Amino acid sequence: MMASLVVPRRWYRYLDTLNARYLGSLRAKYLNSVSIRYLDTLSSRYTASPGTLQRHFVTLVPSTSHMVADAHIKLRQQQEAVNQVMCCTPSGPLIYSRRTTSFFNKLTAEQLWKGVTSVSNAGRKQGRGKGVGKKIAKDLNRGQIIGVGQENMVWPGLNAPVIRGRELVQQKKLPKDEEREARLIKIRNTMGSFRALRLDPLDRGWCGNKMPGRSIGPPNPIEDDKFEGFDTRVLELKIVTCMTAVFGRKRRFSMFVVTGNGNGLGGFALAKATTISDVTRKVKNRAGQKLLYIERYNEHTVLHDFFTYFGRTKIFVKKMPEGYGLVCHRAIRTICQTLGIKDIHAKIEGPTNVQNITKAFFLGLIRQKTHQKLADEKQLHLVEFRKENLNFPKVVATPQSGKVRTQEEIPNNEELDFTQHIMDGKVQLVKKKYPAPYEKLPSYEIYLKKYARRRNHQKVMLNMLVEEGEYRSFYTDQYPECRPGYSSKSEEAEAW
Amino acid sequence: MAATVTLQVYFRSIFFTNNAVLRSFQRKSWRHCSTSVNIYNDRDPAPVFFSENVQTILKKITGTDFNKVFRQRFDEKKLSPPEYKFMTDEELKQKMKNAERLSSKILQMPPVLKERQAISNILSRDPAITGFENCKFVFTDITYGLPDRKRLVVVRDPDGTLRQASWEEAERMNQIYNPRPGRKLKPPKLFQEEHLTNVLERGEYEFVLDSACAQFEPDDPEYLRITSVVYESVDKKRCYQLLHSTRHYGPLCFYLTWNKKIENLLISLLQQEKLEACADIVRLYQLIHTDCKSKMINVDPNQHLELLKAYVEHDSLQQQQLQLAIQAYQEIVRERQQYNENVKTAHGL
Repeated sequence: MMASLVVPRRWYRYLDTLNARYLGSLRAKYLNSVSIRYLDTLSSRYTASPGTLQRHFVTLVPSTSHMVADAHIKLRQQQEAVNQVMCCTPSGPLIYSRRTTSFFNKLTAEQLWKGVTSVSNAGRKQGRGKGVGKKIAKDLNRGQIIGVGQENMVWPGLNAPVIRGRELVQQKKLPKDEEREARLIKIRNTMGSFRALRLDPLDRGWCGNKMPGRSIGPPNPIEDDKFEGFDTRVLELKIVTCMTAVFGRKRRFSMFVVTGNGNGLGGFALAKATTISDVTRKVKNRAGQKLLYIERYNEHTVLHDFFTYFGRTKIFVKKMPEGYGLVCHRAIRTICQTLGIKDIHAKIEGPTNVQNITKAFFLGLIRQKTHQKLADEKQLHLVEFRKENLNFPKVVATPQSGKVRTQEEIPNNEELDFTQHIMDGKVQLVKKKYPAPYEKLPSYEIYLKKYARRRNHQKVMLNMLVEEGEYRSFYTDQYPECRPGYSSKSEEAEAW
Repeated sequence: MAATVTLQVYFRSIFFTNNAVLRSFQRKSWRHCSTSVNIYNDRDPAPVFFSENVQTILKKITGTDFNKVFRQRFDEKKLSPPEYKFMTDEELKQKMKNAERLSSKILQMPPVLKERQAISNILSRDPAITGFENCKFVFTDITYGLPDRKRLVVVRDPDGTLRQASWEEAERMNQIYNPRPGRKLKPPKLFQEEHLTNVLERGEYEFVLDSACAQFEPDDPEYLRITSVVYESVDKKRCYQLLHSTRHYGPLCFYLTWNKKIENLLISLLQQEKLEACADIVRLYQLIHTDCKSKMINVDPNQHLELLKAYVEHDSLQQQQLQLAIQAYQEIVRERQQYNENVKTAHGL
């Protein structure tokens, strides 16, 4: 003997329409194959228990196969019976027709809200439906849990476990929750008003609460490739519009991102879509498809200084030692962080269009020449001199062929200077540093003379703490007031 | 008299190798092994240290590991990006020569001198001006270009005596008028007993020795005390490699050889299979202690192991340990040869 089943009313509607035989289109419209199969079994095995048709859920009781057809007919009769409520009044019996189905439960929530909040195309052209008067769809599911409704009931399998300990939990009706309605209304009242986005400071990019500079996660995995270690950062997010014949002004989001695994692999991409979520997904996956590998020096900086340009944007990039940091435009800084470059100096000349900066920078990075390549090009040893190593000549690369040119073999006009060779003859204009305007005034000299007295005090005081253990002078032993933090009031208080 | 002499000789020969206590009786002053003592009192080490043979040996065993000599030191200076140059073979050779010259400068050994004697040079006695002031007056000659040691510093005491300043006073005045980088007026607390042992336990030998070189003169008794404490600590921990290829390795070996404490050093060098270095140390020993017995034996200078064995037989004070070490080394060599031969036969060569 099968137990009784509780199913949502929507599903029961399908059972109801079995008689109508609209199987093909209805199936396609409302249900997937699994639920269809399930409901077919339901329809052959169960019928609705009487008096349960009006509620959200319908209790089905098992039926024998030969009674199925009769059961369906009975259902219809029951339904019609419910539709007619008999009410006795002095003037005679009144029949109130109540519909159990209407547009309200035939349409999805989205469609219903659209009907209420939407503005016509003509209205949109005139600018209606934007700004303060805009009606916002409220998510009515907020504050509600599946299994809990107007009737406060315990449904085993839904909002309570089926077996608790060793006992089967039974369906039970609990006393009604009076405040539920009030709570829901309160939640719904707070919705709809505009609220500014609150971001954790660590999640912020370089544009306040907005997207540029923020991370949008790694690209979506493709089969085996999980994009481990990858992080995508938004460089530019803008709303672009074009006029169309049908809708008029068509609004789309354009997002420009750079992705990288912090270890030399990276790529950038641009994508457009109507919603933020769509454009985010599109662009990061596209960036993940267009990856480049760039060479780094000791995994912290570029191989050498270079100059690049794209459009009218020109960048002079300088190789820097450890600890220098990313001293550059914020877009270049973001790119370097995703690629794994930690120290660099970059000066942009000309327009600072973010897309052009990115393209110029990537061009320069992939056009870098490794030390070995340079040595082979020149057929000379490439030697590194570091000031911290007392300029010890460290041979970084020798020509692979083994043949090194001699002084006679090198022509007179050949460029042997490393920086000149690398920059292809270009020289960055270094602007002269002028003294600050106050340095010419006579008051500055007076200030310097006064400052000279206390210029070394910090070091002296530090040494004093090391050697003596406290700030003291020749008078400290004889006169107790010659100590920092001493006040005559405290002495008086002690005397009292 | 002859009987007593022969008796003494007899006793000496019995206890020669093992008894460290008796060994110390043979010298003029009593010596503790662990505490610091001024060891250059009886015989002046300077002529021996600066002799050509000794200098060549010390420079040879110090070694020139460029990676260590030119390593980055943490001196809080701002880093600058490296410079690159395209070079021919000749240019590279020239630069390497410059680097070698610089490395020999960096590896210049601090001199080993005996302890300086206190100055007691009174220039004049004027009891007539006793009590003219209740403090001393110090007069320093600040002529530009004079070396610190030649600078005249005199003191007028309150009792009227005009005398040459003591070493401490002169050094203090020199540091005030011509301050040296790295030197402080008051010696840092690092050099006090408890702090010194603490730092040496951490193995910061080079740091302590460099600080001592910067702070003190080489004949300062404080400097001699500190260096001997450090060398003893290094010998105890057998951390000779830490000082290898630094300017302190030479003086370290000289100190150990002077005090006949080279056993541990020889064993550690044998374990690293540096036979030539072992032979060099034995030769150094023969140069310093010209009365040693192994010198009499004529050994081919190229046979390093033979020289070492001669030392072990005649002059060593810990024969057993060294012999064990030599045996172990020979075993290793033999096994390695055997293994190579096996490999060759296996490959059919």
